[in-house]
Amino acid sequence: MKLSNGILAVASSISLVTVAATAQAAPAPTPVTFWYGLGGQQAADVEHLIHEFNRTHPTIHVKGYFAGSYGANGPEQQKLLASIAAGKVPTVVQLEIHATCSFAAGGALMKLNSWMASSPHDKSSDFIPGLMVNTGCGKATYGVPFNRSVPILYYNRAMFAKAHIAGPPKTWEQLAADARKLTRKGVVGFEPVNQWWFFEAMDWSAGGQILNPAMTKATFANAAGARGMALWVKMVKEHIAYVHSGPNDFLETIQDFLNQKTAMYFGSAADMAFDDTAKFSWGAAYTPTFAGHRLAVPTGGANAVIMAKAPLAQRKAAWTFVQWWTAAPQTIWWSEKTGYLPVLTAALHSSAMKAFFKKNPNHAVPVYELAYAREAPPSPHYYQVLQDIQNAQDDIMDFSQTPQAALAKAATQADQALTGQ
Amino acid sequence: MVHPAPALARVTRRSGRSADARAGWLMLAPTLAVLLSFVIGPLVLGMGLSFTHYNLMSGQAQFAGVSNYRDLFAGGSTFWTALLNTVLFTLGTVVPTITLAVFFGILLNQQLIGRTFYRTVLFAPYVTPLVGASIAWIWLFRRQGFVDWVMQLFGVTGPGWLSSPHTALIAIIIATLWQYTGYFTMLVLSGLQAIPPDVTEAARIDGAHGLSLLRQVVLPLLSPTILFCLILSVIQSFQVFDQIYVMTDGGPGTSTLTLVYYLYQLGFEFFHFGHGAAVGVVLLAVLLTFTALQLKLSSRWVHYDL
Amino acid sequence: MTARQPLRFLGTHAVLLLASALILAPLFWMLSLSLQNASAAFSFPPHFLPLPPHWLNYPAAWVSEPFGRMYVNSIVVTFGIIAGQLVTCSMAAYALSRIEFKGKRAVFLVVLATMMVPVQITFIPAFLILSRLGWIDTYQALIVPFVASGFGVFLLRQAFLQVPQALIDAARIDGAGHWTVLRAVMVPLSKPTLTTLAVLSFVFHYNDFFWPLIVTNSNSMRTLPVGLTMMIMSTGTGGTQWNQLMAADVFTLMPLIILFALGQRYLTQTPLTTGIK
Repeated sequence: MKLSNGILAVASSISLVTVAATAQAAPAPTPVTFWYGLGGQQAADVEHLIHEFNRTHPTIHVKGYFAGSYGANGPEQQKLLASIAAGKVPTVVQLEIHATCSFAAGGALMKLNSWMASSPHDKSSDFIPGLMVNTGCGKATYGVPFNRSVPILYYNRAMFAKAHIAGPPKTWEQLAADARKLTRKGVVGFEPVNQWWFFEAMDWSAGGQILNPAMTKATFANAAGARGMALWVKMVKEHIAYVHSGPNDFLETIQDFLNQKTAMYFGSAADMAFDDTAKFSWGAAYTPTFAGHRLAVPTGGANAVIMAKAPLAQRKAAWTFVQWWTAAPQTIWWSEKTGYLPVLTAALHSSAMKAFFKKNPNHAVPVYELAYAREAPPSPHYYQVLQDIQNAQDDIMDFSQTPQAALAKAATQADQALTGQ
Repeated sequence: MVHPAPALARVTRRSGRSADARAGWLMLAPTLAVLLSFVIGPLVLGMGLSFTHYNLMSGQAQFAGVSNYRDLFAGGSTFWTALLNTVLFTLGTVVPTITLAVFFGILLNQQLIGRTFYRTVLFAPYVTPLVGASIAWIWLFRRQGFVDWVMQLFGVTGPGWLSSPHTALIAIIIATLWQYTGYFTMLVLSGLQAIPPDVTEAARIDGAHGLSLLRQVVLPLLSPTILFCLILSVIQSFQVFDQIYVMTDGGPGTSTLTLVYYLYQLGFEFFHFGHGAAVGVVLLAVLLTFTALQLKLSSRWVHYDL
Repeated sequence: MTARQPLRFLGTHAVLLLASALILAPLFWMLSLSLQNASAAFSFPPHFLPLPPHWLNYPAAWVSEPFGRMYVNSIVVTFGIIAGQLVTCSMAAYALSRIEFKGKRAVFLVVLATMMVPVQITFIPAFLILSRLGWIDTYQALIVPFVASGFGVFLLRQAFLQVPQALIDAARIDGAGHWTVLRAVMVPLSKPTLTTLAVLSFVFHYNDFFWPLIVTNSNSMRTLPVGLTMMIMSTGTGGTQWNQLMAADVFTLMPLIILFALGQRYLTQTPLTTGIK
C-alpha cells in the first residue's frame, strides 16, 4: 500500500505541475470526480444537475461517472474499494447510508463536521432533522443526505371508499382489519415487500431494537422482532395479504398496486414518482405502528461523501458542489423529479416547495414522517447482520420456519459477525 | 506474427538442448508474464491474505493464523451451505450438459437439411450476453411469468421459480443449461469432425450399425473430447457467479448461495477480505484435487487410439 | 442417406425442431418484449406477438446510453484480446507441445491451474497493478490482462500435438528452427482450432461485465454489457424501461449471432481428439 501512496504523490505532483503550468494561461477549473450509482432516467437527472452546476461555476468542473448500482450488493462499492486500495480515489461519491461507517472506519472518508459548521446552509441543523441519521459514526459526520427515502404505506382511495374505510390505518392491528375488508376476488388487501428495511420499521415500532447499544449483540430475536413477521404470516395464510419474493419482489409489488390487484402496499418514498403514473387516486400514509408504541422508521438511500485521500483543492471544490446540490432550488427540483426527499428545512419552507406539496399532498407525507426517523445501528458489520435478517425473513414467509426460530438462528449468526474480528 | 529469423533458427538447431530450452522459455515468456502479473501473482497475494484480517480500506493486514479457515469449517457455518449448493449445482449442470452436448453433437454431425440453422440456434444462447440473458430469465421465471404460463397450459401451477428456496437453484440450473449446452455441443462436434471417416466406414463394413457403432467406435474415439468438456464444465460450474449475481443474490435465504458468491459476499459486501480469500483458496484446492482425480481416473475410460 | 431412411429423418428433425423451439423461446420472448410497451413485461398471460410493434423502442434504447461508442469499445477490446491470445497462446502451446526442456511439465500444470482461479480473489491485486501502471480507464486495462489465456494454451496444445511428427521433422531437416516450424507448419495446420479460440474468446470477452465496470470510469471507455446495466434504475423506484432494455439486449446480441451464423462452419472443424495427455 505504501508504494501506491508514493505513486499517488508523484502523480498528484505531476498534476500540480500541469495545473501550475496552465494556470498562467487561464485559470483551469478545479476538477471534481463524482461517482454515482443510479441508472436510467435517474442518471439523466443527476447529469442534468451536474451540467447546471458546471454552467454556473466556471472555476470548478464536476465530471459525473456511473459506477454501478449503489446498493449493498451493487458494484459501486467494489469499485470504490478497488480505487481506495490503489490510492486513486474519486472526489465525491454517492454512498449507501449503511456503508458510511464501514468506509469511515478504514479512514477512507473525510470528516465533514468542521466544514458543515461553517457552511452558510449545510450545518447539521439546516437539514430536516430525521435525515441526519446514518450520516456518520458517533459524533463524526461523514455524509450529507443525498437521495434519501423512508418506508411509506400506499393505499388505493377508491377501494377504501368502496369498503367504507375512512382513512389509512395507523396501526398494524388496524391494517389487518382493513385488509380483511378490502380483500375481494382478484384483489388482496395488503402487500408488504419482504425486505429487511421494513423489518427494521416493524421491530422498532413494536418497541424492539436490532442491536444492543454497544453494537456487540443482536437483540431482534424476541417478541418485538417476531411480532410483525407473525402478523404478515397470519395475514398471508388468511389470504388477505400477499408477499412477493424473488429478485423482482419490489417491482412486482408496485406493479400489483398500479394494476389495482392490492389495495395497500408497504413501499418506499422513492416509489412515489412511479406511483404518480397510476390511473386512479391513491394516498401515501405513515408506516403503521403497533398499538401503544411510538412509530419509528429507518431511512434509506445514499449520502454524498467526500473521499479523505482526494487532494484538498478538489475536496473543497467538491464541498462547494455538495452545498450547491443540497440548496433549496436543486433539492426541490431533485425531489419533485425523483420522489426522493428534499433535504434542507429551508427548502421545505420555500414557496416553491409549499406550492408543490399543495398540488401533490402525497409527496409531503414522507417529509413529515421523518419526525419518526431512527438511526440504524452504525456498525461496520451491519450489512452482515441485515443479510442474516433477510435470510430469516425469506424462511419465515416461505413458512419453512416460525418467526421465533428463524430470528433466533439469524441472531446467532449476527452475533458471530459482530464479535468476529 | 512470429518472427521467422532463419539465422537464429539455424543456431538454435545446432546448439541442441540448451538452445531448445531458450526457445521454449522465450515462447512461453509472454504468456507467463501476463499470467504471473494478473493471475498467479494476485493469487499468491490472496492466499497470503487468507491468513490475515485484511482491511481493504486502510490497507492494514493483521496476521490471523488459520482463524479464517477455522471459521469456515466450524459446524453450522454458511460455508457448508455454499459448498453443498455448489456441488448440487455442479451435478445438476455437468451431467445434463455433457449428455445433451454429445446427443446434439452426434445428431448435428450428420448430413442434414438445415444443419447450419440448427447449429446457429444451439449456439445462440452462448453468445447472448449473460447480463441480458439473466435479466430475461428473471422475467421468464417470475411468478405468473412465461414459464408459469406454459406450466398452466399443462394444468400445473408454477411455483414462482426464483421465489421459492426449493426451486430457485433449479431455475438457475435451467438458465445455465440453456446458456452453455450449445457451447459444449460445438466442442463435441469438433471432436466428431476429427474422427476419420474411414474408421467408421471400416467398422460399418465389419457389421457395426446404429447404437453398436456409436458405443463401440464413436464414443471411444470421442472420449478425449468428452473428458475435455467434463473438466471444463466442472471448473465452470464450481465457479458459477454471474447468473447468481444478476438473478438471485444467493437467495431466497441461502438457497442459491454458492462458493464464489459467498467469497464475493464476505470479501466485498461484508468487507472481510481475508475470510473471503480463504473461501477462494479452499475452492481452488477442491478444483485442483477434483481435476487431478478426473485425469487419473480417465485412463479407465478415455481412449487415445482405436 | 436421409432419403433412404424417412423415419429417421423425421425423427431427427422432430427432436431438433423441438429443441430449437425451447432454445429460441427465451430469445423470442426477449425480441417480442423489445417491441411492446413498457408494461408488457408484467402482463399475464404474456403477450406473445408485439402487435402493433413499437419500433421506436430501438432508437430510444440506442440513445439512452452512448451505445455507439460502446460498440466501438467492445469491438476494439475483443479484437485486441483475440489478436494477443492467438500470438501468445500459439507460442506457448508450441513450447509446451513440441520442445523438450526442463520444467516444461510444471509450467504446463501451472498454466492449466490458472483456469481454476476465481477472478473474485484476484481482482483487487490485479487492479492495483493496472492502477500503478496508470492504466485505469484505458483500453490497456481492458485488454492486457487477458492477452494470455490458460484455456487458449490448453486448446492449442491439443491441436499442435495432433500435427504428425514427420511433418515437423521434415521441416527441421530443411533447416527450419522452432519459430519457422511454428509459423510455417503448426499455425497453418491448426487454423480451425485457432478460429475456435478466436470465437470462444470473442464471445467471452464481448460479454464480460464485471471487469470492464471495475477498471473503467468514463462512458467513453465502457463496453456494451456495462451499458445494459446502466439502463436499470435503483430497486424500489420501479422506473426501468424493460422493453428498451430488451431492445438493447437484442442489438448487443445481433452481431454475435450473425458472426456465428457466418463462421460456424470453421468453428466445428476443431480437432480435440488428442485429449489430455
